[in-house]
Amino acid sequence: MTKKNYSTGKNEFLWQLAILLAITLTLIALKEMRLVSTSFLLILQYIGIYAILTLGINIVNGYLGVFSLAHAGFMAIGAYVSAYLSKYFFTDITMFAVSIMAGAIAALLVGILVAIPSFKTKGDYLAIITLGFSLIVQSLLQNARFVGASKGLNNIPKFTNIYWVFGCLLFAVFITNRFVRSKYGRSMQAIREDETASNLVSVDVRKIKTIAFALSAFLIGISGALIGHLLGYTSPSAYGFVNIVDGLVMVYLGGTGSIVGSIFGSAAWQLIVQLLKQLDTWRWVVGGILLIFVMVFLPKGVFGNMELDDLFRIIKEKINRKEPGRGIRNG
Amino acid sequence: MAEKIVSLKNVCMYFGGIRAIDDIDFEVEKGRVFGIIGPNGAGKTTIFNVITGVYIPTSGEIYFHDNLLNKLMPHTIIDKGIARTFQNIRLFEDQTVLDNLKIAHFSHTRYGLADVFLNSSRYKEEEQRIEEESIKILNFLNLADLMNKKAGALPYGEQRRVEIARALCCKPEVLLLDEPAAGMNPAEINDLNQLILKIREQFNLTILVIEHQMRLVMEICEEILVLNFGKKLAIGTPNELKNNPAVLEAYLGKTN
Amino acid sequence: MNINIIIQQVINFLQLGSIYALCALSFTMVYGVARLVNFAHGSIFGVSMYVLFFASTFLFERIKSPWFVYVIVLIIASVVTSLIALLLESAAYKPLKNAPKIAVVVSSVGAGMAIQYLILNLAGSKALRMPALIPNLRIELAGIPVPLYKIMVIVIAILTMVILNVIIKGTRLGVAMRAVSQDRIAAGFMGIDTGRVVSASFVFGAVIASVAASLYGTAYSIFAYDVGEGIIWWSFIAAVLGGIGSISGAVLGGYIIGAISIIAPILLPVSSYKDIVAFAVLIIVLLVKPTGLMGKKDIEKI
Repeated sequence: MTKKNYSTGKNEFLWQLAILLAITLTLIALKEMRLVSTSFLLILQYIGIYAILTLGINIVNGYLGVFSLAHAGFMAIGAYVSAYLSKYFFTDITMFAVSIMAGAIAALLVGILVAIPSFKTKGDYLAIITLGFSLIVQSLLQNARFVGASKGLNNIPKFTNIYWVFGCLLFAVFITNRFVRSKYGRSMQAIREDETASNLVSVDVRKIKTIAFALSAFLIGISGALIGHLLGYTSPSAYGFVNIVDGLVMVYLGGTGSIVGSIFGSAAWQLIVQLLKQLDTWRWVVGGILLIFVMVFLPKGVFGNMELDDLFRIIKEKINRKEPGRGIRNG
Repeated sequence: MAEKIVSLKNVCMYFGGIRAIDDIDFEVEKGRVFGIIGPNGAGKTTIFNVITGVYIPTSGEIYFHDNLLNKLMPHTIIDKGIARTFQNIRLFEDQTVLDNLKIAHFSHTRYGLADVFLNSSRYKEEEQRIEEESIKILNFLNLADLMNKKAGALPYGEQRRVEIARALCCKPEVLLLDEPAAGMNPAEINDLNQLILKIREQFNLTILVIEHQMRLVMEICEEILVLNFGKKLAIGTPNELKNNPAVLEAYLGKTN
Repeated sequence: MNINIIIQQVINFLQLGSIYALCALSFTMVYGVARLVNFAHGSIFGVSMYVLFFASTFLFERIKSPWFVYVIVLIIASVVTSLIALLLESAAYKPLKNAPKIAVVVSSVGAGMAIQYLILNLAGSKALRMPALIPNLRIELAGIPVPLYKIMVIVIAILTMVILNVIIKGTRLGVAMRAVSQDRIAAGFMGIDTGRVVSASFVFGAVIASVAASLYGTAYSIFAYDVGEGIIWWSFIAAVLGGIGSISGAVLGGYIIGAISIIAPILLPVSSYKDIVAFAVLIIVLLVKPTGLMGKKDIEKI
C-alpha cells in the first residue's frame, strides 16, 4: 500500500500537539526557572532566529535549487522595517507581532521582484544578480539618513525573547513543512532537477519561482525582525558579504532541501561560532576550512534532502539488512 | 472530413543560419497515430519543440484545434491538452515514480496556497484525487510496483514507460512521443506498439510519434510525415510512402 | 570643466579600467577552463598584495634599481599565489569533481574566507602603504602634467593582455585551454591532459592577479586585509557583464565598470551610489542578454 502523506491523521495531530507542549514547557523551564545561564539562553535565541533564516534560504537555495545570495538584503529589509515601526509607531510589545509581520511582508514584496531575474538567468549569473541586490540594499541603507545611514538604527525596543523566537520558528517550520509537501513543493523540486521538463509537464515555472522567492523572503524577513529586536540595534554592516556567507554555511552544513537540516545547520554553526569565539578573528579561518571539509566529505550537507523520518527509515533498513548477515557469521 | 486537431502552417525555425525546419506544413486528424520520420538532424524533435513552446518559431503558425499556440509558454500549451515525452529521457530522477506523476498533475490540481497552509478539505481531496489518478495510470501501464522507487534507479525501458505515464497525467488530447522505441529489441517494440494503441483507445488520444524503428512506424502509424534537412519530403500512408521515389532516395541513397 | 581635468579623468578611467580588466581576465580564465566561479580569487589577490608589500619593502632597502625590484617581487608574488591556487585546487576543488556544482562554489567561498582572515591574523588589520613599485616621474603632455606611473599602469596592463592573447591564440597550451573550455570531455578524447590544463588555468589566474595587484598597489597604494574583496567583486561583476568565460568580454566589462566608477561619482550626489549604478547596469544587461555582452548563447538540447 502507499504511504498517505497528504492527510494528517488524528494520531499525528496528537503527536504534534505533544511535541508543541513539550517545547513550550521546556522553554518555560529554561527561562523562568533559570535552569540555564542567560548567555546560553541568548545562544538558544540566536539558534532559533538563524534557523528561521536558514529555512528561508533553504526554500530557494535548497528546494528550488537556485543559488541566490539575496538573503542579506531580505534580512535587512525585515530588520529595518520592523525596527522602524516599533521604534516610532508600535512602541508597545503587544504590537510586536504587527511589526514582525510588516517587516516580513515588506521583504516578501521585494522577494517577488527579486524572483523576476530568475526567469531568464540562472547559475552564476543569477548568483551575481542576487548578490547585487543584497549589496544595493546595504548601499542604500548606508546612505539613507532617516534610518541612521551607516550608523543604523539604535535603541530599538528589545521585544525579542525566547518565546517569540521559538513561536516564530514553529510557525516557520509549520509553513515550510506544509508548503514543501504540497504541489508547490513538489514543483520546486522538479524545477531543481530539470526546469525545462517541469515546464513541459505543465508546471508554471515562473509562478513557482515567484512564490518560492516570496515565501523565502518572508521567512528571512521574520528572522531579520527578530534579530533587530534582540540586539536593540541594527546597522548596514550586519548585512554584507560575511553575513551572506554565514547564511550559506548554515544551509549547506545542515543540508539543502531539509527542514531538520536547516535547524541542525543553524544550531551547529551557532555553537561552533560560540566555541570559536575565543579564537576571535581566527574563527573565520577555522570556519572557512570547516566549510571546505563539510563540502568535501558531505557535499549534500548532513541532512541533504532528508527529514528525520527518512533518516529513521534508512537506519531501520540498515539494521534489517544487517541481521541476516550476522546470522551467517554466527553459523 | 475528420476534425483537425493539430495543424502547422508554413512553420520555420532558424537558429542563426541553420534552418532546423523550413516551411513545414501538415495537419493531424483527431484520433490518428501520426508518424514523423527522417534521418538524424532532419528537424523531427524541433517540430515537437515548436509545438510545445520550447522554441518560438521564426515564422508560421501552429494551431491546436483553433487556438494559435505560437508564443504561448510551454506550461500553457501543455495545459491546453498537449503532452510529450523526450528523446533523452527527462524524468525527475531523484523523485519517486509516484512523485514524478504527481508533479505532472500541476495545472489541474485545484487548490491554492491558503488551502495548503490551512490544510483545507479541498487540499486533502485534491491530493487524494491526484494520487489515485496517478496510481490508476501506473496500474494501466503495469508500473504500480515501482511507484515508491526513485525514477533514476529504474532500468531504461521502464523509465520510458514512466515518462509516458507522466505525460498522461497532464490529461492530454494529443500525445507527442519522441523516439519511444529507441534502444528496444523487436519483442519490446511489439509490446510498445500494443501499448501505444491501447493508450490511444483508453485515453481517447491523438498520437504524434517520432521514430527510427520502421517496424513501429509502419505497423501503427496511419499517416506519416517524412522530413529531410528540415524540409517536408513527403506525407502519406505507410503504403504510399513505400513506393515514393523521393523517400527511397533519402533513405537508401540515390537509386538509378 | 576644463580640458586638463578631462584628460586627468580619462587617464584615471583608463588606469582603473585596465586594472579591473586584468582582474576580470584572471577570473574569467579560471571560469572558462575549470567551469568554476572561484570565490577565493579575491583572497588570492589579497595574498599577492601582501607578498608584494613585504618583498618590495625588504628589497628596496637593499637594491637600488626600482625596475629590477619590480620584476623580482612580481615573480615572487606570482609563484606564491600560484602555489596557493594549486593547493586550493587540489584540496578544495578537485575532490568535489563529482559533487553538485554548488558544493564547489561553497567550498571556494570557505577557502576565500579562510585565506582572507588568515591574512588579517598574520598581518593585522592596519592599512598599509605599498612602496612605489613603479618609479614616479612627472612628464608633460602638451603642457598638461601627467604622472608617469599612471601611464605605466595602463601600458603594463595592456601589455599583459596582449601577451595573454598571444599565449592563448598561439601556443599549444593556449589551444589546449580553448579546447577544454569548449568541451572538456571531447578535449580529453583528443589526448589533452585536461587535469593539467585546468591546473594551468589556476596558475594563469594567479599570475594575472599578481600583475593586477602590483598595478593596483602602484595606483592606489593604501590597502588592508580585505583589499581583495572589493576589487575582485567588481572584476567578477565586470567578467559577468562581459560574458563570463569570454576573454574579450572580460576586458570590455572591466573598462565599462572602470568608466562607471569614474563617471558616476561626478554626476551623482553621493559617491557610493556608483555601486548601485554598476549593479543596475549589470542587472539590466543580464535581463536583456542573460549570458552577458560577449557571452555565447547556449541553446539547450532537448
